[in-house]
Amino acid sequence: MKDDDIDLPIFVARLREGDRDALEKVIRLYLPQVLRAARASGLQTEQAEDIVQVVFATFIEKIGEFEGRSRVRTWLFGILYRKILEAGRQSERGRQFDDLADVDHSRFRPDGTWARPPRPADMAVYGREVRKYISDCLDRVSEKQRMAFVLREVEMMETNEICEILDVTPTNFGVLIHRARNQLRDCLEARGIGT
Amino acid sequence: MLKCRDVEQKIGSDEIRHAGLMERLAVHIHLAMCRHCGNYARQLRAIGNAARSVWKSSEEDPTRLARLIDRITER
Repeated sequence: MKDDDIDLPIFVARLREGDRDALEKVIRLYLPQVLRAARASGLQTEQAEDIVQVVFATFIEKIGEFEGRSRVRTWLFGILYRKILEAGRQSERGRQFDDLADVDHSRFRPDGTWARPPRPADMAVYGREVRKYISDCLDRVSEKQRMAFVLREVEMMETNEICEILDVTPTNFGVLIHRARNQLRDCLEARGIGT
Repeated sequence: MLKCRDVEQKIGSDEIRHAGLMERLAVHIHLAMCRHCGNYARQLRAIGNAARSVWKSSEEDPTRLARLIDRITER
């Protein structure tokens, strides 16, 4: 089944009636992607599998309320995001972050040039090093910023879909992804990567 | 003329994706002339590629995935 067929009104109507085959198709199509995003969000394999189960259980339970105004995938990822936030609040990861505080501009001189210019790096080496540390560095980023980063960079979603999932404006999304990237660069730099 | 700070803002926040032709052109010209911003853009690209390769290459093993699907559909 193609991704697009899932969002056809006729298929959505079957979903809303709780048609088992239709629900199973959605599960089979999106489970790998939802699971990957859960793991990229910082959950270990078993935690990720548990949360994905909860996500699909909620999906099945609430499907009657789905109005088909957004894509099925967007709706599913919205559930995933809220479950990750809930799980974060219950663990020590639920630290307080100021997600939308201004991006730090001290990296620039008053005339708008770089105060600490990004160093030229051998991109093959840089990429290898980044792969090694990206997971640790992302652990220091807030859930919301991390999710913005994961949906853009790993799931390669468009801005409007990400905004719908995170329930933010495009401007807010810009701040979230910008801060996530800057924190990643700072964290990598602190480990001597790219310097 | 765009400053490095403006270019970093447009690239880092992905504003550039939704920018008009003239704005995109101005950023491209800046990137062609400014090695610092060029390095910044390359680093961000490498970070994105690294994220994709870390999580896309570590796909779940099919047996685990099948078991998980069973657990969900059994309900």
